[in-house]
Amino acid sequence: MSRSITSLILLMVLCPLVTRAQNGTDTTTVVVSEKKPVAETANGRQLRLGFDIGRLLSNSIYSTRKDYELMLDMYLHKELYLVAEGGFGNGVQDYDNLKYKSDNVFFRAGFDKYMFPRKNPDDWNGAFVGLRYGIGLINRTAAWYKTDDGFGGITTGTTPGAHFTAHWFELTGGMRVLILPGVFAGWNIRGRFLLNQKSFDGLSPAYIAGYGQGDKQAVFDFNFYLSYAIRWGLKPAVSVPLK
Amino acid sequence: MVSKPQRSLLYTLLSCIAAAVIGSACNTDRPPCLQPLSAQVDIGCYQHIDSNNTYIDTLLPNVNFVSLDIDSARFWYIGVKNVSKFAIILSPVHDTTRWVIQADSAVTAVDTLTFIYDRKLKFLSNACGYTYSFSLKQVLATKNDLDSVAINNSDVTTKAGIEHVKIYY
Repeated sequence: MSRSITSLILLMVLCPLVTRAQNGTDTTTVVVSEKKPVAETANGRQLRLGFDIGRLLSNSIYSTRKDYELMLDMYLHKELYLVAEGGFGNGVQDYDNLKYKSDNVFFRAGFDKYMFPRKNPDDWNGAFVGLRYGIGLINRTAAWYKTDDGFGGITTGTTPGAHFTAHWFELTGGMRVLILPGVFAGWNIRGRFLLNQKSFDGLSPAYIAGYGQGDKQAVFDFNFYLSYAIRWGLKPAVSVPLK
Repeated sequence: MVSKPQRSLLYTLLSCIAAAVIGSACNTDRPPCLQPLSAQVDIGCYQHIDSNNTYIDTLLPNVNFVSLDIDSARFWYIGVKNVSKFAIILSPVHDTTRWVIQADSAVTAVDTLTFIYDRKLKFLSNACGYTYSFSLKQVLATKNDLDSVAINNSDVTTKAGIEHVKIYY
Protein backbone atom coordinates (compact mmCIF):
# COMPACT_ATOMS: atom_id res chain seq x y z
CA MET A 1 0.00 0.00 0.00
CA SER A 2 2.77 2.40 0.94
CA ARG A 3 4.42 1.68 -2.42
CA SER A 4 1.32 2.64 -4.34
CA ILE A 5 0.86 5.82 -2.30
CA THR A 6 4.46 6.78 -2.88
CA SER A 7 4.08 6.20 -6.60
CA LEU A 8 0.97 8.34 -6.80
CA ILE A 9 2.79 11.14 -5.02
CA LEU A 10 5.64 10.76 -7.50
CA LEU A 11 3.30 11.13 -10.42
CA MET A 12 1.77 14.28 -9.00
CA VAL A 13 5.13 15.80 -8.12
CA LEU A 14 6.97 14.99 -11.30
CA CYS A 15 4.39 15.75 -13.97
CA PRO A 16 4.76 19.51 -13.54
CA LEU A 17 8.52 19.08 -13.65
CA VAL A 18 8.27 17.32 -16.98
CA THR A 19 6.25 20.20 -18.31
CA ARG A 20 8.95 22.56 -17.15
CA ALA A 21 11.61 20.42 -18.78
CA GLN A 22 9.74 20.49 -22.03
CA ASN A 23 9.42 24.23 -21.81
CA GLY A 24 13.18 24.31 -21.33
CA THR A 25 13.62 23.04 -24.89
CA ASP A 26 11.71 25.91 -26.39
CA THR A 27 14.91 27.61 -27.52
CA THR A 28 15.73 25.06 -30.23
CA THR A 29 16.21 26.08 -33.83
CA VAL A 30 12.76 25.24 -35.07
CA VAL A 31 10.98 28.32 -36.27
CA VAL A 32 7.27 27.94 -36.22
CA SER A 33 4.67 30.44 -37.23
CA GLU A 34 1.85 31.08 -34.83
CA LYS A 35 -0.64 29.81 -37.37
CA LYS A 36 1.04 26.47 -37.83
CA PRO A 37 0.40 23.80 -35.18
CA VAL A 38 3.61 23.13 -33.26
CA ALA A 39 3.16 19.37 -33.18
CA GLU A 40 3.39 19.05 -36.91
CA THR A 41 7.05 19.95 -36.86
CA ALA A 42 7.87 17.01 -34.58
CA ASN A 43 8.28 14.24 -37.11
CA GLY A 44 10.18 10.96 -37.17
CA ARG A 45 9.84 7.51 -35.73
CA GLN A 46 11.39 6.01 -32.61
CA LEU A 47 11.73 2.44 -31.38
CA ARG A 48 12.74 2.07 -27.76
CA LEU A 49 13.85 -1.06 -25.93
CA GLY A 50 13.96 -0.92 -22.15
CA PHE A 51 14.87 -3.11 -19.21
CA ASP A 52 13.29 -2.80 -15.80
CA ILE A 53 16.32 -2.26 -13.57
CA GLY A 54 14.05 -1.77 -10.55
CA ARG A 55 13.38 -5.50 -10.70
CA LEU A 56 17.04 -6.22 -10.10
CA LEU A 57 16.77 -4.38 -6.82
CA SER A 58 13.47 -5.93 -5.79
CA ASN A 59 14.85 -9.36 -6.70
CA SER A 60 17.62 -8.79 -4.19
CA ILE A 61 15.21 -7.50 -1.54
CA TYR A 62 12.46 -10.08 -1.77
CA SER A 63 13.43 -13.65 -1.14
CA THR A 64 10.13 -15.10 -2.28
CA ARG A 65 10.02 -13.80 -5.83
CA LYS A 66 12.18 -13.09 -8.83
CA ASP A 67 11.21 -11.52 -12.11
CA TYR A 68 12.69 -9.84 -15.15
CA GLU A 69 10.95 -7.50 -17.52
CA LEU A 70 11.57 -5.88 -20.92
CA MET A 71 9.58 -3.20 -22.67
CA LEU A 72 9.40 -2.10 -26.26
CA ASP A 73 7.60 0.95 -27.51
CA MET A 74 7.30 2.62 -30.88
CA TYR A 75 6.23 6.15 -31.62
CA LEU A 76 3.34 6.20 -34.06
CA HIS A 77 2.08 9.76 -34.37
CA LYS A 78 0.49 12.53 -32.36
CA GLU A 79 2.20 11.48 -29.09
CA LEU A 80 0.85 7.96 -29.36
CA TYR A 81 3.13 5.01 -28.66
CA LEU A 82 2.47 1.36 -29.29
CA VAL A 83 3.84 -0.63 -26.36
CA ALA A 84 4.72 -4.28 -25.82
CA GLU A 85 6.12 -5.63 -22.56
CA GLY A 86 7.11 -9.09 -21.50
CA GLY A 87 9.15 -11.11 -19.10
CA PHE A 88 9.29 -14.07 -16.80
CA GLY A 89 9.70 -14.85 -13.14
CA ASN A 90 8.96 -17.18 -10.29
CA GLY A 91 7.68 -17.23 -6.75
CA VAL A 92 8.38 -19.37 -3.72
CA GLN A 93 5.88 -19.93 -0.95
CA ASP A 94 7.71 -21.21 2.09
CA TYR A 95 5.51 -20.90 5.14
CA ASP A 96 5.49 -23.40 7.96
CA ASN A 97 2.02 -24.50 6.90
CA LEU A 98 2.23 -24.12 3.11
CA LYS A 99 5.03 -24.70 0.60
CA TYR A 100 5.07 -24.59 -3.18
CA LYS A 101 6.74 -22.89 -6.11
CA SER A 102 5.39 -21.20 -9.20
CA ASP A 103 6.81 -19.73 -12.37
CA ASN A 104 5.34 -17.89 -15.30
CA VAL A 105 5.89 -15.90 -18.44
CA PHE A 106 3.85 -12.84 -19.24
CA PHE A 107 3.11 -10.48 -22.07
CA ARG A 108 1.43 -7.09 -22.09
CA ALA A 109 0.38 -4.94 -25.02
CA GLY A 110 -1.24 -1.55 -25.30
CA PHE A 111 -0.44 2.06 -25.90
CA ASP A 112 0.84 5.17 -24.16
CA LYS A 113 -0.43 8.65 -24.85
CA TYR A 114 1.96 11.45 -23.98
CA MET A 115 0.27 14.35 -22.31
CA PHE A 116 2.18 17.18 -23.97
CA PRO A 117 2.92 17.66 -27.68
CA ARG A 118 6.50 17.43 -28.84
CA LYS A 119 8.07 20.82 -29.39
CA ASN A 120 10.59 19.69 -31.99
CA PRO A 121 11.93 16.51 -33.61
CA ASP A 122 14.49 16.01 -30.84
CA ASP A 123 11.99 16.28 -28.03
CA TRP A 124 11.20 12.77 -26.80
CA ASN A 125 10.79 13.50 -23.09
CA GLY A 126 7.43 13.43 -21.49
CA ALA A 127 4.83 12.10 -19.13
CA PHE A 128 2.16 9.74 -20.28
CA VAL A 129 -0.83 7.64 -19.42
CA GLY A 130 -1.57 4.30 -20.99
CA LEU A 131 -3.65 1.16 -21.16
CA ARG A 132 -2.53 -2.45 -21.31
CA TYR A 133 -3.94 -5.90 -21.67
CA GLY A 134 -1.85 -8.54 -19.95
CA ILE A 135 -1.70 -12.30 -20.05
CA GLY A 136 0.33 -14.63 -17.85
CA LEU A 137 0.89 -18.36 -18.26
CA ILE A 138 1.56 -19.85 -14.85
CA ASN A 139 2.70 -23.20 -13.51
CA ARG A 140 2.33 -24.06 -9.85
CA THR A 141 3.99 -27.11 -8.33
CA ALA A 142 2.21 -29.47 -6.00
CA ALA A 143 1.63 -27.75 -2.67
CA TRP A 144 2.48 -29.23 0.69
CA TYR A 145 0.26 -28.10 3.53
CA LYS A 146 -0.07 -28.62 7.24
CA THR A 147 -3.09 -27.96 9.41
CA ASP A 148 -3.33 -27.93 13.17
CA ASP A 149 -6.47 -29.89 13.94
CA GLY A 150 -7.02 -28.17 17.27
CA PHE A 151 -6.99 -31.53 18.97
CA GLY A 152 -3.26 -31.43 19.45
CA GLY A 153 -2.58 -33.26 16.19
CA ILE A 154 -1.08 -32.18 12.91
CA THR A 155 -2.57 -33.02 9.53
CA THR A 156 -0.39 -32.82 6.44
CA GLY A 157 -1.00 -33.47 2.78
CA THR A 158 -0.36 -32.29 -0.73
CA THR A 159 -2.56 -30.82 -3.41
CA PRO A 160 -1.66 -31.42 -7.06
CA GLY A 161 0.09 -28.85 -9.20
CA ALA A 162 -1.89 -26.70 -11.58
CA HIS A 163 -1.65 -24.47 -14.63
CA PHE A 164 -3.28 -21.07 -14.71
CA THR A 165 -3.83 -18.40 -17.31
CA ALA A 166 -4.23 -14.90 -15.97
CA HIS A 167 -5.83 -12.10 -17.95
CA TRP A 168 -5.72 -8.59 -16.67
CA PHE A 169 -6.37 -5.01 -17.64
CA GLU A 170 -3.98 -2.30 -16.67
CA LEU A 171 -3.95 1.47 -16.27
CA THR A 172 -0.53 3.03 -16.20
CA GLY A 173 1.17 6.38 -16.03
CA GLY A 174 4.78 7.48 -15.96
CA MET A 175 7.50 9.43 -17.61
CA ARG A 176 10.60 9.09 -19.77
CA VAL A 177 13.57 11.42 -19.70
CA LEU A 178 16.49 11.44 -22.11
CA ILE A 179 19.65 11.24 -19.98
CA LEU A 180 22.22 10.39 -22.66
CA PRO A 181 22.00 10.36 -26.44
CA GLY A 182 19.46 7.66 -27.17
CA VAL A 183 19.27 6.55 -23.52
CA PHE A 184 16.15 7.12 -21.45
CA ALA A 185 15.35 6.71 -17.77
CA GLY A 186 11.78 6.56 -16.60
CA TRP A 187 9.18 4.94 -14.47
CA ASN A 188 5.67 3.57 -14.60
CA ILE A 189 3.08 3.16 -11.93
CA ARG A 190 0.45 0.59 -12.71
CA GLY A 191 -2.94 -0.37 -11.46
CA ARG A 192 -3.88 -3.89 -12.51
CA PHE A 193 -7.25 -5.55 -12.44
CA LEU A 194 -7.56 -9.28 -12.84
CA LEU A 195 -10.27 -10.21 -15.34
CA ASN A 196 -10.64 -13.92 -14.53
CA GLN A 197 -10.59 -13.98 -10.77
CA LYS A 198 -12.70 -17.14 -10.65
CA SER A 199 -9.89 -19.12 -12.24
CA PHE A 200 -7.86 -18.36 -9.14
CA ASP A 201 -10.28 -19.64 -6.54
CA GLY A 202 -8.54 -22.12 -4.33
CA LEU A 203 -4.78 -22.23 -4.08
CA SER A 204 -3.68 -19.50 -6.46
CA PRO A 205 -0.01 -18.65 -7.01
CA ALA A 206 1.18 -16.17 -4.42
CA TYR A 207 3.18 -14.24 -7.01
CA ILE A 208 2.66 -13.81 -10.74
CA ALA A 209 5.50 -12.07 -12.53
CA GLY A 210 4.11 -9.21 -14.59
CA TYR A 211 0.99 -9.00 -12.45
CA GLY A 212 1.79 -9.20 -8.74
CA GLN A 213 0.03 -11.02 -5.93
CA GLY A 214 -1.98 -13.80 -7.52
CA ASP A 215 -4.61 -13.85 -4.80
CA LYS A 216 -5.52 -10.17 -5.25
CA GLN A 217 -8.06 -8.95 -7.77
CA ALA A 218 -6.46 -5.51 -7.98
CA VAL A 219 -2.80 -4.67 -7.44
CA PHE A 220 -0.47 -1.72 -7.85
CA ASP A 221 3.05 -1.97 -9.15
CA PHE A 222 6.01 0.19 -10.04
CA ASN A 223 8.71 -0.11 -12.73
CA PHE A 224 11.89 1.80 -13.31
CA TYR A 225 13.21 1.43 -16.84
CA LEU A 226 16.44 2.18 -18.57
CA SER A 227 15.90 2.12 -22.31
CA TYR A 228 17.71 2.75 -25.55
CA ALA A 229 16.07 4.30 -28.60
CA ILE A 230 16.75 4.19 -32.29
CA ARG A 231 15.17 6.74 -34.59
CA TRP A 232 14.52 7.12 -38.27
CA GLY A 233 12.52 9.27 -40.60
CA LEU A 234 13.60 12.47 -38.91
CA LYS A 235 13.12 15.33 -41.34
CA PRO A 236 14.88 18.67 -41.13
CA ALA A 237 13.18 21.22 -39.01
CA VAL A 238 10.40 23.04 -40.81
CA SER A 239 10.99 26.75 -41.23
CA VAL A 240 7.96 28.82 -41.94
CA PRO A 241 8.70 32.44 -42.89
CA LEU A 242 6.95 34.96 -40.77
CA LYS A 243 4.48 37.22 -42.52
CA MET B 1 24.01 16.69 -23.79
CA VAL B 2 21.85 16.91 -20.68
CA SER B 3 20.50 20.34 -20.01
CA LYS B 4 20.40 21.82 -16.55
CA PRO B 5 16.66 21.45 -16.08
CA GLN B 6 16.91 17.87 -17.25
CA ARG B 7 19.74 17.15 -14.85
CA SER B 8 17.82 18.54 -11.91
CA LEU B 9 14.80 16.60 -13.06
CA LEU B 10 16.86 13.45 -13.22
CA TYR B 11 18.18 13.97 -9.70
CA THR B 12 14.66 14.51 -8.48
CA LEU B 13 13.54 11.44 -10.32
CA LEU B 14 16.29 9.26 -8.94
CA SER B 15 15.81 10.43 -5.38
CA CYS B 16 12.09 9.78 -5.60
CA ILE B 17 12.76 6.37 -7.08
CA ALA B 18 15.10 5.61 -4.20
CA ALA B 19 12.40 6.66 -1.76
CA ALA B 20 9.87 4.48 -3.54
CA VAL B 21 12.19 1.49 -3.49
CA ILE B 22 12.96 1.98 0.19
CA GLY B 23 9.26 2.33 0.86
CA SER B 24 8.43 -0.82 -0.98
CA ALA B 25 11.28 -2.60 0.76
CA CYS B 26 9.53 -1.88 4.03
CA ASN B 27 6.62 -3.96 2.82
CA THR B 28 6.94 -7.53 3.89
CA ASP B 29 6.66 -10.05 1.11
CA ARG B 30 5.19 -12.52 3.57
CA PRO B 31 1.92 -11.08 4.82
CA PRO B 32 0.71 -12.43 8.17
CA CYS B 33 -2.38 -14.57 8.54
CA LEU B 34 -5.11 -12.37 9.99
CA GLN B 35 -8.08 -14.72 10.13
CA PRO B 36 -9.19 -17.66 12.24
CA LEU B 37 -7.61 -20.95 11.24
CA SER B 38 -10.03 -23.34 12.91
CA ALA B 39 -13.68 -23.81 12.08
CA GLN B 40 -15.61 -23.84 15.33
CA VAL B 41 -19.09 -25.07 16.16
CA ASP B 42 -20.97 -22.26 17.88
CA ILE B 43 -23.53 -23.57 20.35
CA GLY B 44 -26.32 -21.66 22.08
CA CYS B 45 -28.30 -22.87 25.07
CA TYR B 46 -32.01 -22.11 25.37
CA GLN B 47 -34.89 -22.72 27.72
CA HIS B 48 -38.50 -23.36 26.94
CA ILE B 49 -40.45 -20.88 29.06
CA ASP B 50 -44.11 -21.22 28.14
CA SER B 51 -46.60 -23.12 26.03
CA ASN B 52 -46.29 -20.71 23.09
CA ASN B 53 -43.03 -22.23 21.99
CA THR B 54 -41.08 -19.28 23.32
CA TYR B 55 -37.42 -19.91 24.03
CA ILE B 56 -34.92 -17.64 25.71
CA ASP B 57 -31.20 -17.85 26.25
CA THR B 58 -30.42 -19.74 29.37
CA LEU B 59 -27.24 -19.11 31.29
CA LEU B 60 -25.73 -22.34 32.46
CA PRO B 61 -24.58 -21.93 36.05
CA ASN B 62 -21.29 -23.81 36.17
CA VAL B 63 -20.42 -25.48 32.90
CA ASN B 64 -18.02 -28.22 32.01
CA PHE B 65 -17.51 -28.95 28.32
CA VAL B 66 -15.26 -31.93 27.74
CA SER B 67 -14.03 -33.57 24.57
CA LEU B 68 -13.96 -37.34 24.55
CA ASP B 69 -11.87 -37.52 21.40
CA ILE B 70 -8.93 -35.34 22.29
CA ASP B 71 -6.51 -37.75 23.88
CA SER B 72 -8.70 -39.47 26.46
CA ALA B 73 -10.66 -36.43 27.61
CA ARG B 74 -9.91 -32.75 27.57
CA PHE B 75 -11.75 -29.98 29.36
CA TRP B 76 -12.55 -27.23 26.90
CA TYR B 77 -14.61 -25.24 29.40
CA ILE B 78 -14.21 -26.01 33.07
CA GLY B 79 -16.42 -24.46 35.73
CA VAL B 80 -17.42 -21.55 33.50
CA LYS B 81 -20.18 -19.58 35.18
CA ASN B 82 -23.32 -18.05 33.67
CA VAL B 83 -22.58 -18.57 30.00
CA SER B 84 -25.04 -19.54 27.28
CA LYS B 85 -22.80 -19.51 24.19
CA PHE B 86 -19.96 -21.92 23.53
CA ALA B 87 -17.54 -22.65 20.71
CA ILE B 88 -16.11 -26.11 20.28
CA ILE B 89 -14.13 -27.85 17.53
CA LEU B 90 -14.54 -30.98 15.47
CA SER B 91 -11.92 -33.53 14.59
CA PRO B 92 -10.66 -33.20 11.01
CA VAL B 93 -9.45 -36.81 10.96
CA HIS B 94 -12.76 -38.45 11.93
CA ASP B 95 -16.34 -38.15 10.82
CA THR B 96 -17.72 -37.99 14.33
CA THR B 97 -16.69 -36.12 17.44
CA ARG B 98 -18.11 -36.54 20.93
CA TRP B 99 -18.40 -33.90 23.58
CA VAL B 100 -19.74 -34.08 27.13
CA ILE B 101 -21.64 -31.15 28.56
CA GLN B 102 -22.56 -30.62 32.18
CA ALA B 103 -24.64 -27.54 32.91
CA ASP B 104 -23.81 -27.37 36.60
CA SER B 105 -20.74 -29.29 37.56
CA ALA B 106 -21.84 -29.51 41.17
CA VAL B 107 -25.34 -30.77 40.66
CA THR B 108 -26.52 -31.87 37.24
CA ALA B 109 -25.99 -35.03 35.27
CA VAL B 110 -23.78 -35.06 32.20
CA ASP B 111 -24.95 -35.41 28.62
CA THR B 112 -23.00 -36.59 25.61
CA LEU B 113 -23.26 -34.80 22.28
CA THR B 114 -22.22 -36.75 19.18
CA PHE B 115 -21.57 -34.66 16.09
CA ILE B 116 -21.76 -36.51 12.78
CA TYR B 117 -20.45 -34.57 9.80
CA ASP B 118 -18.68 -34.41 6.46
CA ARG B 119 -15.33 -32.65 6.36
CA LYS B 120 -13.74 -30.78 3.52
CA LEU B 121 -10.30 -29.33 3.05
CA LYS B 122 -10.59 -25.62 2.36
CA PHE B 123 -8.02 -23.11 1.16
CA LEU B 124 -8.05 -19.88 3.16
CA SER B 125 -5.21 -17.82 1.71
CA ASN B 126 -1.53 -18.04 0.94
CA ALA B 127 -0.77 -16.51 4.31
CA CYS B 128 -3.09 -18.82 6.27
CA GLY B 129 -2.87 -22.00 4.23
CA TYR B 130 -5.51 -24.69 4.48
CA THR B 131 -8.05 -25.62 7.09
CA TYR B 132 -11.03 -27.94 7.34
CA SER B 133 -14.66 -26.96 7.09
CA PHE B 134 -17.49 -29.23 8.12
CA SER B 135 -21.04 -29.93 7.17
CA LEU B 136 -23.12 -31.20 10.08
CA LYS B 137 -25.32 -34.15 9.20
CA GLN B 138 -26.66 -35.02 12.61
CA VAL B 139 -26.20 -34.24 16.28
CA LEU B 140 -27.11 -36.96 18.72
CA ALA B 141 -27.53 -36.31 22.42
CA THR B 142 -28.31 -38.13 25.59
CA LYS B 143 -31.10 -36.53 27.60
CA ASN B 144 -30.05 -36.87 31.18
CA ASP B 145 -30.29 -33.14 31.75
CA LEU B 146 -30.97 -31.41 28.45
CA ASP B 147 -34.21 -31.60 26.56
CA SER B 148 -33.23 -31.65 22.90
CA VAL B 149 -30.64 -30.58 20.36
CA ALA B 150 -31.20 -28.99 16.94
CA ILE B 151 -28.95 -28.02 14.04
CA ASN B 152 -29.48 -24.35 13.26
CA ASN B 153 -26.83 -24.02 10.52
CA SER B 154 -25.02 -27.05 9.20
CA ASP B 155 -22.07 -25.25 7.54
CA VAL B 156 -19.24 -25.00 10.03
CA THR B 157 -16.56 -22.72 8.64
CA THR B 158 -14.21 -20.06 9.96
CA LYS B 159 -16.97 -17.53 9.51
CA ALA B 160 -17.90 -16.02 12.84
CA GLY B 161 -21.29 -15.05 14.24
CA ILE B 162 -23.26 -18.07 13.07
CA GLU B 163 -24.93 -20.30 15.62
CA HIS B 164 -24.72 -23.85 14.37
CA VAL B 165 -26.37 -25.86 17.15
CA LYS B 166 -29.06 -25.06 19.71
CA ILE B 167 -29.34 -26.97 22.95
CA TYR B 168 -32.70 -26.80 24.74
CA TYR B 169 -33.12 -27.32 28.46
